[in-house]
Amino acid sequence: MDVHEELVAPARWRARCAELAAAGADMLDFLAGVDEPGSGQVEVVVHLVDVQRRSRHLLRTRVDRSAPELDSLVGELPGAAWHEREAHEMLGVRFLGNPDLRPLLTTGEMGHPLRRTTPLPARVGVPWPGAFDPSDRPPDAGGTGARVPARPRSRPGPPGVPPEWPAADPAVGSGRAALPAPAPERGRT
Amino acid sequence: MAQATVERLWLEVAGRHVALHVLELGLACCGIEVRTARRIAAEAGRVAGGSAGDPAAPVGAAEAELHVLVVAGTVTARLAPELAAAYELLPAPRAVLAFGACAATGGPYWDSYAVLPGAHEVVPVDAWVAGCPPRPADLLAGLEEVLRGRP
Amino acid sequence: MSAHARIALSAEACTSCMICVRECPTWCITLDAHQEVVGDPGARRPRTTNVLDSFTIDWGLCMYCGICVEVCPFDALHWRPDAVSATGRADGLRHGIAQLAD
Repeated sequence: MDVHEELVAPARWRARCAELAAAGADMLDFLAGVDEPGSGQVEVVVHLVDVQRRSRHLLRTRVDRSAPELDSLVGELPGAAWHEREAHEMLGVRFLGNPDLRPLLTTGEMGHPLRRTTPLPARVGVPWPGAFDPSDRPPDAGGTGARVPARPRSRPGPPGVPPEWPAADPAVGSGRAALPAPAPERGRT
Repeated sequence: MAQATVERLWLEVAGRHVALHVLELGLACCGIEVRTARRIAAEAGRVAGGSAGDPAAPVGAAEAELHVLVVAGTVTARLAPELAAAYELLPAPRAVLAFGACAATGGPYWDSYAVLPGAHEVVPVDAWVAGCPPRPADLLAGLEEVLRGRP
Repeated sequence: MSAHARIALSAEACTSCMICVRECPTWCITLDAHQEVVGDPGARRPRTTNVLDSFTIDWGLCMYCGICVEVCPFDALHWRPDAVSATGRADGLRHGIAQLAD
């Protein structure tokens, strides 16, 4: 299928999608967001498919990361409702006109999880088994009097955990806060 | 996709015939393996048949009865109250089997912002089956382990 | 029957290089080791070797991806066709060197 990519200004977002939907590209495949802290923007992407003409439209727009707002597409494409709801939950984008932006999965204590600046508390709070190295426990001098110096190795951090993430309680964001009272332990260990 | 089904199984452990009322909570991929296990158990004659006079059922009453909740899949924070409610539905005597890595520790999603690191965060667990997912036959092994803990 | 049902460790082949521990996506492997001097009378200087003290796989976390088996430079980890047994103990899914041996 042909793919048509477009960069659309936020003010034209809803109108352009409406045009394409009216012209036949009325199947919404997905609407998603991408966080770009480097540019200070969040990119929102929508994929519309014209099944009859076998063509695809990939529309992108970029909104200010500090106050991301965009018109909702639910008027023309009702299927966008949950996509926008998820993008709001994960990235904080407000879709003006979407009547229901309640979170789908999270309990709210972690902020917006898919923002690149949001740390994943569990991976920071739980000690990484790979931080250990056998050279942490060098040989003793023993009876020989000869001292074997431990050769320091480079210490990698866990993959995917940027060093700038702050130390955090691993229970944050895991949903434990919303739990009912913990069930009592049975007699078995 | 969460699916809850109830099955009655006959299991023999250490010479004891036990009738199990199994509530399978298929919360994620492990749910598929549990459904397959049901078929395997049926083929082995261990499932109480829908038709009258199931020839595979042991003659006479079973020596014991147990209600078992099988947690098969990822325990998300959103579904936790439903899991607790499912457990409350079971009459005594009851037990819980954690089937698969997600039910044991959260599995590959242990660090997720939306996942509880194990069913034990919500309900008391009697036995665990490892796997991602476990093979269907491992469900029967897990149920036998639950029974072994019940003198 | 799948041949990839559990992962076993040949402890004598393990050099405690830590690669499997660090590559595991779910952090399910824990390893403890210390260093010892190996006597070599003809050598110009003493040599140091790693000695494995403990090696644990938490089967509750393992997702059976096999990355540890693939990255081990010494083939100390390998697949086995028998599944990990069900357990009634909360720590029963954490297997040490003895339970991981063939």
